[in-house]
Amino acid sequence: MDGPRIKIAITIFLLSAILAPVAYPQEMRKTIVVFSAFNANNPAIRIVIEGARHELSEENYNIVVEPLDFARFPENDHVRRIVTLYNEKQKVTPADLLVLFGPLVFKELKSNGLKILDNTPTIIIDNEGMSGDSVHAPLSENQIRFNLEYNCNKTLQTAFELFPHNKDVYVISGVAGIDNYFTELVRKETRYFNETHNFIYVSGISMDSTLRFVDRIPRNSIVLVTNYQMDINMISYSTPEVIFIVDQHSKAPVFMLPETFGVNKGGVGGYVFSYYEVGKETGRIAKQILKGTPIKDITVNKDRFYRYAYDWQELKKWGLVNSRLIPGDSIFYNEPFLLKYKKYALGMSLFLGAIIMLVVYLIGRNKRLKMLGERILETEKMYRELIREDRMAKMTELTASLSHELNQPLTAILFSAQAGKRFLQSGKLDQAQAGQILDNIIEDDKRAGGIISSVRSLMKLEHREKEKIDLNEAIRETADIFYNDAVRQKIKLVIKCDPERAYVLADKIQLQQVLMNFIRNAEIAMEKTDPANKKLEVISVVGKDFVTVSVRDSGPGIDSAIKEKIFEPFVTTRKGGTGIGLALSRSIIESHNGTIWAENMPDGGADFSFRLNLLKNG
Amino acid sequence: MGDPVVYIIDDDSSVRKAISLFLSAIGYNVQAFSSSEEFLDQEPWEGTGCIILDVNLEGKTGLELQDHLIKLGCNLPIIFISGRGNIQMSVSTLRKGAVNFLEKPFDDNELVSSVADAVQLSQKLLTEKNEFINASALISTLTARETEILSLLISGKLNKQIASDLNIAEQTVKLHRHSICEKLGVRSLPGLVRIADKAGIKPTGKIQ
Repeated sequence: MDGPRIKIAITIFLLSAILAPVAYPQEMRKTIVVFSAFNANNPAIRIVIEGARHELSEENYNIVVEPLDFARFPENDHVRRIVTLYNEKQKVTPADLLVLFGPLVFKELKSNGLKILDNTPTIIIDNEGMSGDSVHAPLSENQIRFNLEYNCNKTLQTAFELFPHNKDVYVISGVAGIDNYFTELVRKETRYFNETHNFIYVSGISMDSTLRFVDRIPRNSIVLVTNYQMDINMISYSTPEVIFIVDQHSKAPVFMLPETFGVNKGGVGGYVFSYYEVGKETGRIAKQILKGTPIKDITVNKDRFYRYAYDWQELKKWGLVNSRLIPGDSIFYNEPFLLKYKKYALGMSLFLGAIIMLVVYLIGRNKRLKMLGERILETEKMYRELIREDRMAKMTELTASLSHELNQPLTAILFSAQAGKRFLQSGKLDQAQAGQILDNIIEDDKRAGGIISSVRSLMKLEHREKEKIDLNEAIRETADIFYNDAVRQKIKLVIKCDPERAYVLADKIQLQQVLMNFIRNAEIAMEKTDPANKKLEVISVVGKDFVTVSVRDSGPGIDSAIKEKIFEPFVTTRKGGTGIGLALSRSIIESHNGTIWAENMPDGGADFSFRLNLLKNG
Repeated sequence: MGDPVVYIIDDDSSVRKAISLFLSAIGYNVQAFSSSEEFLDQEPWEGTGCIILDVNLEGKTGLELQDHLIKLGCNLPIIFISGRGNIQMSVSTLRKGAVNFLEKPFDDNELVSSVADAVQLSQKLLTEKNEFINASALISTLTARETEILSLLISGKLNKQIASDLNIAEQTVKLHRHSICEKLGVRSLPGLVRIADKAGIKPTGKIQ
């Protein structure tokens, strides 16, 4: 062996000796699997995970999310399928820690046999209000649970303190289960404020109608968006986006319950719930568990879940920046950069620096505003598109149902006539039979005519003349018509009109048609009710800007199968019902710029209501 | 065979009444029902006829009733009528043996010819069914050995071949064959083939 070869060999040996430590043995990466009750884009779970990542940033971990999306897949098979799939996945990447986020997740996974649930440390974030008693189910020693409790009282209180002159509160929400849950929370709290504030609930309508409604909310009101996951047309939304859009439409300040849903995105802020803090707390617990702390030694700290947080820009818009009502420890979003460094901008050099910062800030702000503008345009375009599609689908559906409805009497008429003809040909047509056949034809023809005229009336409503009428008077007149009917059917008819005059600009005949429709439906609904309990109430309540009229019965309530679409044409549970009455009522009320809704009352029976704008200076 | 009966099942009383009247004007014996359940409550009809069945019934729908009747082995042909059907639906019902799929409002001639076709089909089905019953009754009088020889015979085998297949004397085969013909009341091989076919007896062995 000669010299150079040995040198090369030595060099290679030395190099490999130097390089070897670089390829240090890889540490085992921990896997955290999060099962969420919602879909992958749900803002709450996204923010919770963001918070958890913040806390775990130093650790070597990997977070995987398995969305269960209960809203879209309510059937029980769905969870079983996911569990089956997950039991397979688990063999490839085992989980070191489970996080179960949202109502019923623990209960569902447990009952559907998720294997790793028994022997993997698990953090359960649940909610008693939505999961019921299952949040008290006993846990094994490697499971820890904390329930999220929402407190709307203080949120409302901050809103009322900041805007002491705004007395009308518009509570906006979608129709998904979780939307209703949050709205009910607010409804429960309102008993503390009923004396001082009017609460108007805007729910059970499409996003399109919601925004049109928001457009008309006066400046001196308060808008509260509780949760908006789905509208009545079953279109999904995300609550932060809805708050953003609602704020674009609203002249009044917009509030929300969780911080991260709205502060920073159009909402004013206040004492709000922070999913980010929930995430951080989850991350903190996860860290302890992964480091081997026994679960029984871990305590959950929920103190920071609620905090004061405001959008600085919104405060400025309402002239509240220096309000003594804003606590010092509040968190501010969108706070101008410059403001924070005011104290230090004393010296000349700092002044110069501040100028540079100002320029940078202005450029950034300009860009942001431009982007914001584009985003608004884009979203509005999207909404218009959605609304258009929505209408097209409705038209197609209407046409299909209409042709079906008409085909029945047309077929019957044809065959009655043909039967008559054949009897005539065979010489077997007697007078009685001829009469019967003609009667049938007349009846079916009338039925077809009725369908056509009701559809026509649905479409033609806008062109009627409106005049100033007292709605209370219209109610009394309508009730008079039903008085005898009610006595005969042993129904206790109660009319509770507000003593205030209820002047509205309306077509009286049409409104009476709506009332008659409500009352007749109520009567029919109570056909099988024990006469001792038959009660029909017609109530009017005159508020500051609105009058609300409700017709309540003590029948079995609205069938949940059709509750969502009860105002759509041809929807009925009644044998022989056309399903036009309520659709027509909705068209009438909407042509009066009012809102109409139906709900089941807590102690049984149905409530059909509509609300109209009062005539100013009436 | 008795007079055919036309059953009409439709939850729309106007349509039900009008079609019933029309078909009785033509001379059919008509029975009307407002739901599948009401129809199924009746004693099953053994004679000929057909069912005019609305697709969109409350409770058990027309499509479900068709499946149910197929399971029950009901021989009545079905004519579907529908206010809002689609092609897919009609194809699937026809594939399952429906005679026709008529969309409301349909022409009276369409209904008349469909009902006539359906009734004719039901007569054919009933004849076949009766023949099967008769033939099976005759076949059931044969002994196991005779049935075995019958299926070899109808596959075209000669006495000699059968004898060697079964490892018996040719004379014995002849005796069995004579007895089979006697029991089934036929004189020739074609006669045996016909009865075996109706009773669903399959030939065994290679056909020559």
